[in-house]
Amino acid sequence: MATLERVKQSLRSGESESGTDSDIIPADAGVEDVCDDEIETVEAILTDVRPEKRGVIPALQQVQDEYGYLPKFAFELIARHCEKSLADIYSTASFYSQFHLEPRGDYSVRVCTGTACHVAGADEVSEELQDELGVGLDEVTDDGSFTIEHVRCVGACGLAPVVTVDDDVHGPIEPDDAETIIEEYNESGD
Amino acid sequence: MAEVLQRPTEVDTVDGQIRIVICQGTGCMSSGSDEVYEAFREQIGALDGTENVALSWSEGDIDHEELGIEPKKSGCHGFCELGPLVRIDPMNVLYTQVGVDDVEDIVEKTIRNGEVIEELCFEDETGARQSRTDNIPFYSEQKRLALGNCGRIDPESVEEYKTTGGYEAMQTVLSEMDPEDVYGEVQDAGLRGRGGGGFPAGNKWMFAHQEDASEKYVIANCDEGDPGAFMDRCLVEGDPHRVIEGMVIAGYATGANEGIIYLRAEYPLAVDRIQQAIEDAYEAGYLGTNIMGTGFDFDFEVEKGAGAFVCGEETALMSSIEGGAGRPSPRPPYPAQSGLEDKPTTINNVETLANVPLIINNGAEWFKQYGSEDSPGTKTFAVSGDCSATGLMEIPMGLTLQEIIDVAGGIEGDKEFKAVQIGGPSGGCLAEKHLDMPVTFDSLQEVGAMLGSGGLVVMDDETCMVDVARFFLDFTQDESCGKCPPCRIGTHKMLRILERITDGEGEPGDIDRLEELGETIAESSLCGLGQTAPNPVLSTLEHFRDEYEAHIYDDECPAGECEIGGGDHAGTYKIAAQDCVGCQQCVDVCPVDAIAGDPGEAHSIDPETCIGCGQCVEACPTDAIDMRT
Repeated sequence: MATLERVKQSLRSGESESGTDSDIIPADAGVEDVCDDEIETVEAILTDVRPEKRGVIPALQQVQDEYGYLPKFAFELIARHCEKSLADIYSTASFYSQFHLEPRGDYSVRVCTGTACHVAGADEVSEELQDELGVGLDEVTDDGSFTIEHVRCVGACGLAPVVTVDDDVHGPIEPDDAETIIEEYNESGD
Repeated sequence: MAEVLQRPTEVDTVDGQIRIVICQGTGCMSSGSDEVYEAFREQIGALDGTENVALSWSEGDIDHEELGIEPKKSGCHGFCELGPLVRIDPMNVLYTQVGVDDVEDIVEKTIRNGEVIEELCFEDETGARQSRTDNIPFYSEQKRLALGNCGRIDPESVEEYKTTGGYEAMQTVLSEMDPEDVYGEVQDAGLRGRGGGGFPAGNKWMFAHQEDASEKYVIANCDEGDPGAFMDRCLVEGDPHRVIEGMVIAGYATGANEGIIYLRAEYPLAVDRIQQAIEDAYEAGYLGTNIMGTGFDFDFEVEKGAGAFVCGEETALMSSIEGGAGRPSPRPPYPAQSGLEDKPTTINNVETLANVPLIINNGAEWFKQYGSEDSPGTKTFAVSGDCSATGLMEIPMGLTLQEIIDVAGGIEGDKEFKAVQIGGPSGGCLAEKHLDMPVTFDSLQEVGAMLGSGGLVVMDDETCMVDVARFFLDFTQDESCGKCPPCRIGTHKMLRILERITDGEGEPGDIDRLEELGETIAESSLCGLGQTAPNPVLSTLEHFRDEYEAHIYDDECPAGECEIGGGDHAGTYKIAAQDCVGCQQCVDVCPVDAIAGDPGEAHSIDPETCIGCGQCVEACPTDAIDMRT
């Protein structure tokens, strides 16, 4: 297993292309669990992404679609694929609110905090959902099912206040509806 | 007695079809309109072989496909609050809040027997049921140009787009016009950027055209980040081919062969629809090499945003496409000179682009008949908040604020109008005195607001304006990219002050501090985000200053929204700043030194220290001191 230092060297000298896949996983970056399969998964994603700077955001988006967040080892692969430095990739990933660097729940419960939803009481809805799930914002429930987050306007203002679960839009909802909404997904997950 | 519909003639119909149009916008889909669509398909199929369907124009046994009675998907009808919406054309019968259970009834009664189902019709404020869109002000007062096809045609069908004259403008442009004529026509029409800036689109195209470069880009900006705005989303969801056509024309006029639409990732349906439309357009030969045999090449692809409001700014948007953090750069150079990958780049809002095919088809003069002299054409507005008919509308520029609110059904219930927030975080709040002001790019700027992209949130008297200002500052300081200090630090400072005020801990001098900070940030920030970030605060300070004062000096939220008031400090005293003359007499008598304030300035009492002895009340010559309750 390569060390972070070796990876950096190989990236600098451009040797990484010739190395085996497992060589690029920095052990001290906490990704020793990653097996070749996962690397192949990411590399398969990257084959459809253009190998230049314009590929960075699509690459991050597609990897996140696969994992629900951006695992560290993927940064290495994306950096190499798009011919950018690790720092560049991290800079981009950490700038945008869409990207998560920590694992998320299976379902993303998003409370819209746009103007119409704010005025219609999104805060109370959010609090009720957090109570219902027993987690705070951006935390994952113990069973790994849900993450709750605040998002910018989802553009369904006529339905304010709005909550989306993955790509489903729910609205208008009352704080009391929190339980029903969560139930719906708990059942479908069972 | 139910209203009975007249059998339509074939002439009334589009393509000889009776269309059951089921809205598949985000709003209606969240209320289950996709299931309603499926139910209609099933029920209509079951009509085959029956006789004498009232709404078909021929007699005898029917085959629904042959007769063209078809359930159709469409983009947003605009009346999102009452979804799922189903309209039956060409009769223009609108059914609201249609559930799967209603479908059988609609087919049996309305389609088969021509009866209108009253319970499903829109109920107006008098309680009367209106079956036709022509009788509902929300529809009859609108002038739909850019959104003309939204809610009318199936957005997933290039064929349907063509039946409305789609891609004709593109053909005219590519086969008959020089680039100079194209941007000249757009200049003559006076089309201004609908994304909020209001910059003349034709000029933008001319600048890009004049650049000598082998490669150029055009970008459609659909990074609709303003909270409370969803016009662009509806447009792309409802009529994606119009955007494609506008882009090809923009490409031809500016000399670009590559186009990109930058779309928010928060709009998954819009992403799917435009992607599908692009594929179909390639297949039909409207994109790619040698478009329609004219020798013009144009490629078009989708870039999804990643959740950063600042990327609506042109230079930040390009930085994002290039894989970097979305931070703006100083201009010049302008994108028309050096934009994406340092190539000349034209960036237009999708609504601007959607107007272009109409201008080409009908001419600049036709376009100018709508709207005002300085702001020709129409504007789409996303109206939400405390009005009866929230949703999407398109109206001529220059209507007054009151007229716009009336189209949206007026204030909900028996509450009073208080304010309109227009233009999102860059815009401002307008008060009652602005209701008669015509809404145009320029008129709004004069009163410290901004048209922005067209989000319009109506607020009634239960809304606290200080809290609204805090809400927007919270938004902008969070979305500030951090590049320039006035925006990064200034908005943070302003937010802290606003939070203090809404928590009931505002201090004398806070209003001055907000104004000074706001003016400095507006003057010295690098990009539009920072330059306009103070607008919500400055405009509410101008029009609702008394609310700020009530929070700070009286520990009171007039709208009752902020949790302040006497609370823990009941029994202590407070000074009404507007009555205080700054004589210092109370300061002198206070036994615990709880009162502060320079001579001649309004004083304040620290409720933590005050023991409620009342000596200041007796000392005060102007009766400015009162007990907190």
